[in-house]
Amino acid sequence: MLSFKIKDITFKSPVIAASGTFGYGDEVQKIVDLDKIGCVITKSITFEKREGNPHPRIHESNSGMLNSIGLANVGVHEFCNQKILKLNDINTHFIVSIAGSTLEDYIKVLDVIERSGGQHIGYEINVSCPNVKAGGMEFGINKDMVYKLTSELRKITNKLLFIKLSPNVTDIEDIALSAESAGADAISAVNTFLGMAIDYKTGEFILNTKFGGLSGPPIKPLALAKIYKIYNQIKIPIIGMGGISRVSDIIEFLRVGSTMIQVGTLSYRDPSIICKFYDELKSFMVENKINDISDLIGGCK
Amino acid sequence: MSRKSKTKLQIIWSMRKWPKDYVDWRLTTAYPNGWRYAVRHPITFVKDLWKFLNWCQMIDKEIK
Repeated sequence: MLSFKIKDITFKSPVIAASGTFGYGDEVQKIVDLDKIGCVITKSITFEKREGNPHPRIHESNSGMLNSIGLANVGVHEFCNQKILKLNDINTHFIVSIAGSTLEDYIKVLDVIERSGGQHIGYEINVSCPNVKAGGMEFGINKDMVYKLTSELRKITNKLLFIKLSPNVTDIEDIALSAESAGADAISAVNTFLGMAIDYKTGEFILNTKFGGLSGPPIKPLALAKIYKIYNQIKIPIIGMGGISRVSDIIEFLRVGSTMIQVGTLSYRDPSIICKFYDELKSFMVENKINDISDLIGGCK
Repeated sequence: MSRKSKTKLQIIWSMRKWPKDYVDWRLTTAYPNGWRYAVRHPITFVKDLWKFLNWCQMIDKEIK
């Protein structure tokens, strides 16, 4: 009753581990019951290895988290040579998150992973990272670039294609429409909100890059509003995320139109917390006599 | 979700189950050179750990 299908892929739970907060996905399998998670999304992979931004690049704010990690990752070749073999053995689906600085970067990374022999079911295209100088959010704020990127990637893969959108735009629904019309299978919404932290005593910026992406419980109402706007414009599924910390938050995200949800910042507190949502969601459905999780989708009035 | 607020020591103790490669990934996420940075800058590392533990307690209250 918690399972859900997107295209021909069945997910055993609507709860997904968000990119960047769950390692590459294989590291946690000894401490997390992956059987209770619909899918794991890997850390974003770029063509070249990246060290990321200088320290400090994480700031724990009031119940939230401001980060400017800058897409630190092992690069696509090491990912394919080492990580993907381990991921093939994990006890749930996995999706590879991809990031780049140019259109060609995204295509090259996806092309290498397509030929890697990985058992991944799809890709999440990160066009919304606010923490890199080139690429990232530059793609996500321009609907024409999102259309072009999605349609180019659609040509080279038949696997699931999720486009992860930035909330730092005026009309997120227009960008979601572009992704849908270019062939995306789902919209992941939303990535972090652009934020900043200052040391009030010295006046210094706390993050080395001045700006960072805010995630965690403080962004939940903002994320819900963005998802609701998207839901009223598109027909493909929405993978909702933004500050989910309890099972009631999951229900709220489903009711505004999410088909599945991603948990990110909370996994940073403790990666095993995410499994508990499976049991709690099941209990909620039994208590409220809901037979199918899809009955909750879009049910806000 | 019912979750008792833990002390900082209890939070550190609960991390003992984290696999080595997961800890390595966490350090690589926090620092440009991962564990090497933490070893070379022990005071920064301890300060960051303290901030993280405070944050964990704040989050625990949020999800209680």
